[in-house]
Amino acid sequence: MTTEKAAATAPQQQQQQQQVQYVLMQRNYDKEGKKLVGREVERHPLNTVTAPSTASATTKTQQLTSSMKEMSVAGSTPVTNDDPLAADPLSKAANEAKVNDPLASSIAAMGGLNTIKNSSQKAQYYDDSYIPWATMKPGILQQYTTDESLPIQVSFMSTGTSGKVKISLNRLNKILEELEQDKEEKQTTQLTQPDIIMDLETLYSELIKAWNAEERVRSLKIAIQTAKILNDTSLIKFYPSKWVIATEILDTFGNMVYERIQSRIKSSQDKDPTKRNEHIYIDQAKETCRNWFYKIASIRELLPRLYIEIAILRCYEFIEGDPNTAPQEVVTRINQMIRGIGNPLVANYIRAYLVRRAHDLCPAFKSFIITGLKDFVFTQRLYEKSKYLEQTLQTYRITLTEYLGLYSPSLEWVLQCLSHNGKQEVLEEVLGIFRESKNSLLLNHIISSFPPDYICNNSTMFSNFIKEADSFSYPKCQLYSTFGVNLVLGHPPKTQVLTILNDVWKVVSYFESLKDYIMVAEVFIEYVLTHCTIKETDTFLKDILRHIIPDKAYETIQSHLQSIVLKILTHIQDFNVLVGLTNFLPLLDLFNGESQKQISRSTLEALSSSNTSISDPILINIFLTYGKALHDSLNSLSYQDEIRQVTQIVNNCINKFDFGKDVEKQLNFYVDCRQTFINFDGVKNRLIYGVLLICQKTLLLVRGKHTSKTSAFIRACISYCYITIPTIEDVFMKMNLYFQSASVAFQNQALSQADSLLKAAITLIQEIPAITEFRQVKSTEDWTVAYLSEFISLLVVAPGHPEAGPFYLIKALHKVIKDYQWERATTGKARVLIQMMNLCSAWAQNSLPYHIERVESNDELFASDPDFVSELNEFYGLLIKEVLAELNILKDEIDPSTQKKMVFVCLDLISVTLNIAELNSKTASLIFNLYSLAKKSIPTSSYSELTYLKNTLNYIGTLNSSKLAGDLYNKLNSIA
Amino acid sequence: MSAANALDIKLKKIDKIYKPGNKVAGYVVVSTKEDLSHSGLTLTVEGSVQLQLSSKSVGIFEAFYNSLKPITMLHYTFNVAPSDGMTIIYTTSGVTEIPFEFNLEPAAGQQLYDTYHGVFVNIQYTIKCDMKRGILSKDLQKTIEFVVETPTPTSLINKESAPVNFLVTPDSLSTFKKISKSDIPNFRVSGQLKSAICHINDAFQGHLIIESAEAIIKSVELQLVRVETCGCADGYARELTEIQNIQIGDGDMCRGLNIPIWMVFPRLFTCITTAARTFKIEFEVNLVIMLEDGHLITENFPIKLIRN
Repeated sequence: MTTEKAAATAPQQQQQQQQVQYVLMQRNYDKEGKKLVGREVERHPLNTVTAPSTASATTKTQQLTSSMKEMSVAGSTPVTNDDPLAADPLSKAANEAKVNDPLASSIAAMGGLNTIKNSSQKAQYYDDSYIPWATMKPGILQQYTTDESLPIQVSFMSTGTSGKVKISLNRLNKILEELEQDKEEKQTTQLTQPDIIMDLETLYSELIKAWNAEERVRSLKIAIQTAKILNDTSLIKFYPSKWVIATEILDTFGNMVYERIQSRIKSSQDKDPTKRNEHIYIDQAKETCRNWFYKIASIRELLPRLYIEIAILRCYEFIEGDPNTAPQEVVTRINQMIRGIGNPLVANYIRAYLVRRAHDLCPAFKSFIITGLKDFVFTQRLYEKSKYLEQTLQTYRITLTEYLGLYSPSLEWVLQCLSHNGKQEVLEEVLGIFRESKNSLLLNHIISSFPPDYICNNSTMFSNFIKEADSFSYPKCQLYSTFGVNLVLGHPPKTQVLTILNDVWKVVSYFESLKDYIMVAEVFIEYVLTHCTIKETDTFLKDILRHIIPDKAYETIQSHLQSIVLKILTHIQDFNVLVGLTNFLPLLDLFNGESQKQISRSTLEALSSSNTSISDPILINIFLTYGKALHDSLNSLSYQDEIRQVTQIVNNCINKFDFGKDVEKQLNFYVDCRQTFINFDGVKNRLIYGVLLICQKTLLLVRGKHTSKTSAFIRACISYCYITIPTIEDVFMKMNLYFQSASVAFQNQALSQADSLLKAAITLIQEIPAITEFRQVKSTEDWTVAYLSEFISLLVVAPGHPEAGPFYLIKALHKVIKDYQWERATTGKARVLIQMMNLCSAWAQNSLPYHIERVESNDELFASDPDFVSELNEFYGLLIKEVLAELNILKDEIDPSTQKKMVFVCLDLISVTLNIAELNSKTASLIFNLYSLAKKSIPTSSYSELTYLKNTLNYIGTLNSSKLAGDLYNKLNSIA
Repeated sequence: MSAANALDIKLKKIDKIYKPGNKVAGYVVVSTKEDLSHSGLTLTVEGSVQLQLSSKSVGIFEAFYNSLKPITMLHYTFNVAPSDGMTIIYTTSGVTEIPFEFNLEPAAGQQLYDTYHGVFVNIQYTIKCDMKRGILSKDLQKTIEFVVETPTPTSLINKESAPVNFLVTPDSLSTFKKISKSDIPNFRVSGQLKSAICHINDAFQGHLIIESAEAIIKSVELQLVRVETCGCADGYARELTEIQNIQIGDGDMCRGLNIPIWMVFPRLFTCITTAARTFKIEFEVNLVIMLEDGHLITENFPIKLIRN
């Protein structure tokens, strides 16, 4: 400023001084600031206080203190794997809870000691490799149905659906009729699958009803009816599922009988403390049990009689000592009686049921299962030779493979029970059965149920078995798949790994059907990945490609290929290695459609899980190609959640790409990314932050002093931000980005660009919605006020515009704030205006409280310019007027929460005024008015506001700078 | 419970099964709402054999009607509570238990037989309780049945009970229907019964093998038959009726498999093979093979039921 101007404005100032104005005072920031006093401690406050019961706790704390020492010595340490908070009280408590689980112990206490003993006994018998029946059920129901489109849902089985089933009255009557009559030959009308399911539902609910009404005879009749349904193999494809459901009903019946007798024995122990008549109750219970068995023994038909005896098998333990009740004898006898059932499918399933229920009675008894298997094989062989098989296939119109597939669940169950915890001899015996019969169905289930290590140790033998097995009862590709699964799970001897592979592949490679081939390949890829080296994997992939590329055969087997690729990605985490496989990338290229989307996603996920940073151009290419594919597959109709997940994956990948000091390459990379992921806001957000990071990195590299080359680069970066931010949809995201970019621009001395960014931000404020309706209606006021406060604090250091002057930005902001649609009865505007007052105060100082290096802020540019100062004071006065206008409107609002906000604004304004303005009569009267208004509006019950008021008054009391202050204090004190 | 006062008899033995010579002990249970008076509580134990003629033999054997009157094996009355004047039962809980006891002995010159519920022969043992109430009130009554199991006399038990082999072929069929051999499909069924002498508490056991059969088999069944003879040497009626039919093979069973024969003797409807002066109770088992085309192949096995 020239001295002329200064002279010209001097008389103006004097005029102004005659009217008392608000004047910003000079402040001493050092005196105003409060310093925190700290003290040194030896032990980290989050360390456990109790005596170290676990040694790990002490070692961890030792590690902690030592690592802290390391950190203080070195500049920065790489991220250690030790979790510094591992020794905190919360995780220790969590670990303890696992050991002494209070819930488990209380459950045990409720059931009594017997429960614990029983359950632990049972639990000890079955280890983790045993698949319990409950787990197998849903799979069977899903697979065996005549109608693929309609899943089987049964209300009393937990297969996912629950809820009551409406049973039509006609059906109910029909079934009840059948129960009344004892028809031996029932004409089976053509029932459909839903009909049968409905019948079973009816039977179940009737059973429960009858039992609860203590109608034991009727319950038995219903159980017999259920068993009879299993004699019917029309709708043969549905048979396994029908069996699952019907046996569920039979299980319920059996359990009810057992529990009833057991509870009578137990209640006898409870009822009679003197135990005098205890034996009477026990005898009664035993007699009831005997009655059940007598009743069952007189059922005429074989199948129901057997099924029901098996259902209540466990009850034999109550009448131990009676003739013919030894568990093993009973089971053996029933097992043999099953031979009397002519239909081999029905026979095999009742065998499976016997195996299932026999486990309740004598789990270790296994020889009967072998006998059963021998029976099965025997009947199968004769069956194949006779005309019966042909007739069956013709009647039901199914293929041989389909028919034999129906046996699978029963065989699987039987073999699993046999081989679980089975001795070597048992396994050998079963193998003997196979050797005789060459039954490939049996072989498949043998392989799937025997322990994997056994299979691996005898892999050559099994490989030969597969070659010898007959090929019509079970497809060879399935056999090889099952075999492969075992090889993957087990540990084949190292010397044989390759020979097995070659042996198997000699056969598989020549499979005619591509589907068969790829099914086996899918399993064996994992074998190769687990047990062989990278070289073999590559060769294996080559073989696969050789099979699938001709005639574009890969198009039909996309899902299989997908699973193969996923397995590879799971096993080989390091993408560099993957790229080294010459045959991997060509495989990736073969995908299209939905599979490509999945593959792209998996590829990116694999990339993002890399441990080191990536800068390989090939990987960049992969990333951009598959990223683009993934990006293009999503559009505005896709689920928000999916978009969010994909954005996250892409960001994770982007995080991995680091070019070190080559920041230009990094920028180019970000440009490519932006082009690829044009629709993803989340990615653009990340990219902008990435670019800002580059700027700061550059700043660090040049140690704060930009050369012309680096400043050009910075400008390029900031332009990137400036162009990209408007393409983002989210207003809040944009605002934050503008702010961050402007800050970085300032730091890098790109002043004009910073200016444009700030301008853009100010313009954008108008678009901040007052409320958001994301999941609930929420006001954005707090966010806006906080944001603007931060923004204003940046404006403090922003240098003024060379032409438009120092107030250009702040006045633009001021206008926008005035025009913004603040919600009614809120104090947002007032609060922001108060913040602006603070800015005025800062600018009024000789030296700003903070600077950005190498940026000349207004204190240097307009130091002590009287025009500047007077304009500031004017502006300040204007701000005060506006806040008062706001308060005027607010004081008439009745709502108590608004009143409270208003009171806080008053008191805040008092504090601010005291801090920044010179205390003159105008200021004093302002404070007086504000104080009265506040005091008037505070309800007597509001403790917080009253305290604030009191503290404010006390503060004023401490000001002994002038008589005015004392007068003011007295005046305020005397307000009623 | 319609009646305010009710009478019941409870035996100490839950299964109500006694052997001759056993002590039968129990309680007469009186449930009343208020104090009850009675003039005597008596118990009558009775065991009798009822004989019946089938309708087709009624006309022929009127002369021997005499031999068909029921046989009383035991009849025994005793007082549970004294009947001198009026006795008052004071009740506190509404249920009074009065114990009783007697020895299970036959009447003079009589013998106790197994409890047996048949068609033409019925052997039953009952306990009846009578409570005399005087003129103004109704008398109360209750009857229950109990089961008597008698051991087979040792003299009748053969020391060796040998297994019974059997073989059924078209040749061995007894032609009780006029069928020519060519109509009968070829078959060969062999098997073995554990013994023709069976313990009544044990099951009827054995096995069979369908070695070959050209026709399709529909069902294989065991038919338990009771043979009741009423009358004496001068004239008697011998009736065969089915007790139960147990299926042991369903559908066309696999040839060459060893299929077990197993049948539990039903309680009350079977008893030990019994021969008395005026009646006989015997048993037979028929092995019935039903073919799909309607032919029936039957093999008959008379058996003896014993009890140790």
